[in-house]
Amino acid sequence: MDVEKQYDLFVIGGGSGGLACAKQAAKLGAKVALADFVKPSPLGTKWGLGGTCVNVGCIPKKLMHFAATLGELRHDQVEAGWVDTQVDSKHNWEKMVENVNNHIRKLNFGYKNQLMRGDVKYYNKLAELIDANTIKLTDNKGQIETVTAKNILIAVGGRPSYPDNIPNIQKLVITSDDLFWLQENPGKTLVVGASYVALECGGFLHGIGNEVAIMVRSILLRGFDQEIAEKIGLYMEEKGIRFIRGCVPDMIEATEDNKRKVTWIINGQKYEEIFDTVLVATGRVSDTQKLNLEKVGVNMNKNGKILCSADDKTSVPNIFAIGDCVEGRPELTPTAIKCGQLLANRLFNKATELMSYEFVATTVFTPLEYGCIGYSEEDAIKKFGEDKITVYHSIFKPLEWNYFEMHSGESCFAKLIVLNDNRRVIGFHYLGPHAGEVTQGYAVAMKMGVTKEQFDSTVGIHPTCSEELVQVTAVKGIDEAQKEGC
Amino acid sequence: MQEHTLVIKTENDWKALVLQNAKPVIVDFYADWCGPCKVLKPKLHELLAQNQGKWELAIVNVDIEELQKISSQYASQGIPAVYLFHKGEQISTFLGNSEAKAKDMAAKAASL
Repeated sequence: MDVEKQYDLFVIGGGSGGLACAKQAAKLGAKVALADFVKPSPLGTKWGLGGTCVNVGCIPKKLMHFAATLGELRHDQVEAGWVDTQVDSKHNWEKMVENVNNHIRKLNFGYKNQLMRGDVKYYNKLAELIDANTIKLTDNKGQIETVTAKNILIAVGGRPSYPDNIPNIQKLVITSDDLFWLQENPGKTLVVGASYVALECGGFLHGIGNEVAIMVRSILLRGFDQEIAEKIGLYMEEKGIRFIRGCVPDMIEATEDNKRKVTWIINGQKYEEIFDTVLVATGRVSDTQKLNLEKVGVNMNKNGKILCSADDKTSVPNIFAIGDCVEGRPELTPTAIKCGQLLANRLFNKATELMSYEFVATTVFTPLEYGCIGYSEEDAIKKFGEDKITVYHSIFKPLEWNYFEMHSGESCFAKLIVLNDNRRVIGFHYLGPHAGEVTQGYAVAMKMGVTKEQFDSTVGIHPTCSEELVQVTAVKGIDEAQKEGC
Repeated sequence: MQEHTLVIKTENDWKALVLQNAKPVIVDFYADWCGPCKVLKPKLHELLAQNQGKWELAIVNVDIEELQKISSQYASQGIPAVYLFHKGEQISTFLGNSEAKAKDMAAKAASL
């Protein structure tokens, strides 16, 4: 005889995916509880409810990126006629961080209230599975309580990983977990990594006036279109960000005045430099280690990512997993949210719709922003064959960039990848200002199967950067991307 | 003026200083990150200074871990959330930065 379980659904992890699923399930009448607990970073940084995106990801990142772009606009302001603008005035890190952190705390508070009003029981405790229906909860004082649930959702996300070749590295470097809560400007910073996290953080740190070097082992933005990735790197270099390519730190040591001495080797030659801060952004690891998943029978890959079927089921029938902690899922907030909502619908409303990861739009908020949907050129060639696709490309200059003469006329770039047999646009790439705003609408079209001819028959809005996408005619390999004249 | 404010830090403070207070207590639920809270606070202090000792002002910072249960109960609709308590009973409440509602509540508190 089945003992009645306390909850219909117990969610472990109060981030984008977990919160969305919990709220939706409760809306559909399920008895839901959610446990969220932030293990402090090695340097002691911690934060509230909401997960990576809200606390140490998208939200603070975008706000700080925006702060940096505001600094750059000073030059344009002067040429646009504004008087008394100080192009070299200093940036106050403390003020920015205080405002960013206060906004995050407001979001933490809002989420807590949403759970309460939505009848989701919130445990600010660290969860661990005892068996497929029993969860052990430990609070920050070490007190333990046990609950039972019919279904369990694991949405624990991930945390930054550290290189393993440097002793005591966790105490010597910061990661994105720490950067957004630093009470003091990190100063001259070495960013280790070539992920979007590394480039975005290095980008805004430089934008607010810090000296920044970015150490890259091989390529930039692995997984993204490499032609665009290199353009992003070139733009950042032209702005004054140093790239140290082809190596990793060999040694990092604290100096007497608490700076960091970093050593690296290129072609047998040893280099050494002092930085105020080293920011490591070389990857993220799934946060599943202490959940006791192996004992309960939930299968993971060797990196700790949970293996799930398309309907988010793990190897244990009543245990589900969504978001960053699942193998093969994009590490994005909107996909985790949608996935969580659809899962709740399937569990508690007899729905059947599965999450689709096709044509998910995303944007990298580097100093020159990059929005993309669908296939990179490399992936399109790999999947379909070079002769089965046509690539259209265009170099353009935003109209607003014509006030300040130092703006480049060759950095902004648009690329469309078209499948020859049905003329469907399968890859959309926009490198330029406001990339997120430009890209979003096109995702709707791509999900509907838009063709290049439909793009071409669409009248552009003038004068904008976005109109480039419905006017691009130059074919890569035949025509130059740069237009001649006006 | 400031020293008359009851700063609630624990559940015991809540019981002793708000629920068991012989005088009526106006309680202000606020947070450091809340803009409207910052605007309302001095207005409440002004009203406190003018009340000739008829009621007390207590403040609760909703970010204090120990007070989570109380904060969730009273501040779940948003902040600033202001309550009038008398002899352990909630008499009235208002939400948001409203000088008019604060004045009304102060008048009511003085009449109890």
